[in-house]
Amino acid sequence: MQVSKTFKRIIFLELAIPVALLTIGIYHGLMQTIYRAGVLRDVSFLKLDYYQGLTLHGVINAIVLTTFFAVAFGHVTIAFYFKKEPNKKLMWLGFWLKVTGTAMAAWAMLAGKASVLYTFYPPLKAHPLFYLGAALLIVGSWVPLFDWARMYTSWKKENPTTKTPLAVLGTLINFIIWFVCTLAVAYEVLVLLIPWSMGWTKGVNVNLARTLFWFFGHALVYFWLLPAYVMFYTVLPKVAGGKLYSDLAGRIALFLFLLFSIPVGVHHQYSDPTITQGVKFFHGLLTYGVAIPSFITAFTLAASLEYAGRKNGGKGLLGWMKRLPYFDKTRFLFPYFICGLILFVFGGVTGIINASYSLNSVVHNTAWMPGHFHMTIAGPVFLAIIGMSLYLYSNMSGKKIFMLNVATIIPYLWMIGMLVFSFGMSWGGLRGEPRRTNLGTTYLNPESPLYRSDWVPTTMLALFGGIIMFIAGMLFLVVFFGTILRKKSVEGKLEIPVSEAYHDEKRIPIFDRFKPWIVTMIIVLLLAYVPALLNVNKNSGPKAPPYNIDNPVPVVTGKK
Amino acid sequence: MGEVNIKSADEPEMKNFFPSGAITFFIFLVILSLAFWYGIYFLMIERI
Amino acid sequence: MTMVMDKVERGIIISSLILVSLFVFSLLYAKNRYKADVPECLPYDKAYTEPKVNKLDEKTYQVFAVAAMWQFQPSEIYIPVGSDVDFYLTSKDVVHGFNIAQKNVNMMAVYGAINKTTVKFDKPGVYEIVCHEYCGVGHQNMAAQVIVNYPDAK
Repeated sequence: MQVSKTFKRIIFLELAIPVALLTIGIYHGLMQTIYRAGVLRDVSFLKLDYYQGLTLHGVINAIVLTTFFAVAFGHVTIAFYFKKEPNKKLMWLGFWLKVTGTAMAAWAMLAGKASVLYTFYPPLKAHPLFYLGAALLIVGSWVPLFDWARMYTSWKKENPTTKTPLAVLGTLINFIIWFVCTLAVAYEVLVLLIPWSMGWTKGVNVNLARTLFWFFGHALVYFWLLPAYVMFYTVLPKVAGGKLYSDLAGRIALFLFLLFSIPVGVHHQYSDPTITQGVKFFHGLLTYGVAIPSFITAFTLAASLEYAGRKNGGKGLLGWMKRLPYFDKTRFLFPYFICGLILFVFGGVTGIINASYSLNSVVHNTAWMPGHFHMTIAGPVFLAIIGMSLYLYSNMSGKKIFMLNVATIIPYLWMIGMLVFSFGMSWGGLRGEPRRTNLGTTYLNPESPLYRSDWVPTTMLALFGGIIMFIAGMLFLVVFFGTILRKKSVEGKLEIPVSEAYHDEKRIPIFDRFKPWIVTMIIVLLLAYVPALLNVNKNSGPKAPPYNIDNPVPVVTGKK
Repeated sequence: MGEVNIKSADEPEMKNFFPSGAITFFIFLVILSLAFWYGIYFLMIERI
Repeated sequence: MTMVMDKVERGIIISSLILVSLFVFSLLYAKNRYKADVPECLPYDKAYTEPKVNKLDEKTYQVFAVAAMWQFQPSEIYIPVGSDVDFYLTSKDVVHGFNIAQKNVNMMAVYGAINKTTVKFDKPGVYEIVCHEYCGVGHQNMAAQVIVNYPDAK
C-alpha cells in the first residue's frame, strides 16, 4: 500500500524515538544485574544512582516503548486493512502529547527528582512534572482510538456482512481496554497525586492510590501483550509458511481479554492491607479467567505452526517443529516471534502461579517476580516490538536492513540471555532474594552483616544473562540505526504479511460486535471493583503526607 | 543455516489437517504447568 | 456457535477450564487443611502503630511490627519454639515490605492500614525479615530478625 510522506514520518518518529531511548533503558537493565550481583557495591555509578536507573529502566522500556509502539502499530494496522490513512492532525496531536509527556518525565527522572519506580507508589513523592508527564503520555495515547473508531464505523457501513479483520479487532479491543483502565490511573495521578505533590493537599490515601494503580496496572500488561498477539495470529502463520489454524479462536481469545483484563488488578495486592480475603479470592478466580485466552492462543499458534511445518514436509508427531524458517533471513520476523513464544511458555506458567492466591506469598516482591515478567514483557512483547519496528521501518523507508544476518540471530541471543537471567531471578526469589533492591551494598557485600552467600549463585546467573541480553540489545540498536543511515534503495510502501485461516469460520455476529462485550465488561468491573473500593474506604485510616526518597521526615508544606 | 522451501500453492494433502502435534505440545504445556504449580504449592505448605 | 467452532479448539477450552479448576480446588483444600491464605484484613486502629511484643501465654505471642524508613521495630524478636505468633503490621511512613521467606510471611506495610498474619514457629533458628518494597535510599539496609529458641536456652 502506498502511504503519504506525512504518514511515514509520523510512524518513523513513533517507532524510532522509543528505540533510541532503549539505549538508556537497556543500559540500566545491565547495570542492575551488576549492582545486584555485588560486582558494584555502591549507591550510584557515573552519577546515576541505582533507584534512579531502575526508574528509567521501567518507565522507558515498559511504559514509553510499549505505548508508542502500540499506537504506531495500531495506525499501520488500521491503515493497511482499511486502505485509508488515519486523520493526520489527530496523529500529530497524539504524537506531540506523548512526546511532551515523555520529555517531562525524562527530565524529572534524569534530574534525580523522580526515583520512585514506574509504579510511583505514594507516599514516596516525585516531582510534579513526572506525574504530569505520565498523564500527558497516556492522554496522547487515547487520541488514536477515537479516530480509528470513526474509521471502523464507516468501514462497517460499507461492509455490513464482512467479518472485521482479526488484526483490526485486536487493535480496537486493545485500545478499548487501555482507555478504560487508564481512567483509574489518570484519576490517581491528576486528582490524588499532582495536587499532593505540589503541596495543595495534605495527605493521600495510600491504599486507594494503590488500588487505582492496579486497576490500571494489570490491564497494562495486556496493552503490552495484545499487539504481539495480533502479530502472532495474523502475521506469524504467513511468515512461517502456513495458515492460522482457526480465525474464530482468535476472536474468542480477544473478547475474553476484553472481559477479563481489567477486573483482576487486586491479584497484585494479595499482600496489601484493607482489602478482604473474599475480594482477593474473587480477583484470583477472574484471573484464571484471563488465563484461558492465553491457553487458546498457545494451542492455536502451535496448530498454525504445525500446519506450516507439515506443509513444508514435516512428518510424525513433532517433526513439523524442525521444518520452520528459524534462520531464513528473508523471513527474519519468524525468529522474533518464535523466540518470544518459547519464553512466553515459562512467562505464562509463572504468571499463573503468581495469580494463585495463597501461592503468591511464596513469590511476591521477590526476585521471582521480575523473573516472571521479563519472560513476558521482555520476551514476546519486546521481541515483537523490535522485530516489527525494524520490518515496518525498512519497508516504509525503502531501505534495506543493515546487517540482516545479525538481525536474524539477535532473538536467539536474547532468548538464551533471558532464560539464564530469569532462571537466576526465579531461583533467587525462591530463596528470599528481594526485588527492587540494591543488593550490592549489603546483601551481596561480604563485608556487610546482612551478607547472604546463598544469593551469590542466583545473582551471578542474572548477571550473566543480563550481559548476554545487553549484547543482543546493543546489536539490535546497531542494526536499527544502521538501517536508518542507509540510502533508500526502493520506493517505500506499507506492507504487513496477512495470514489466511485454515478454519475460516463464517461470521458470527456475537464475535463481531463490541456493545454486548463492553456492557458485560462494565458489569464485571463493577462486581470486581466496587467491593474492593468499599473495603479500602472502610478499612483505611489516616492519609499520608509526602516523603522524599532520602528523608524519613515528611516534606513540610507551608500554607499556600 | 538451511533455507526453507516454501510452496506457494496449497497442497492437496493439507485439506484434512489434524493438529496432533499441537495437541501433543498442549499436553506438554499442561504437564509443565502442573509441575511448576504444584512445586510452588508444596513449597508453600512446607513453609507454613 | 458450538457447531462452527473447531472440535479440537473446544476441547482445548474445556481442558484449560479443568486445569484452572484443579488449581482452585487445591487452593481451597490448602486453605482448609493448612490455613494457607493471604493476609487477614483488619480495619485501621492506631493501637497497632506502637511497636510491641505481647506474650499472651507460653505459646502465644502478638507482635505489633512497625516499618519505617529504614528499620523495623521491634528489630529483634525473641520467640520460644513451638509458639504461634500473630504479626500485626503497619508503616510509619512510606510503603515497605515484610517478608519472612522461610515462614511464608509476605505482607505490605502501608501507612493508614493494618495487616495481619499468623505463623507457628516450630523449629528453632534465626528467621530473617527483609523489606522487599523500595522505600527510599536506605531500602537495602532494612532488615530484622525473629530469633526462635528453646525457652530454657540462653
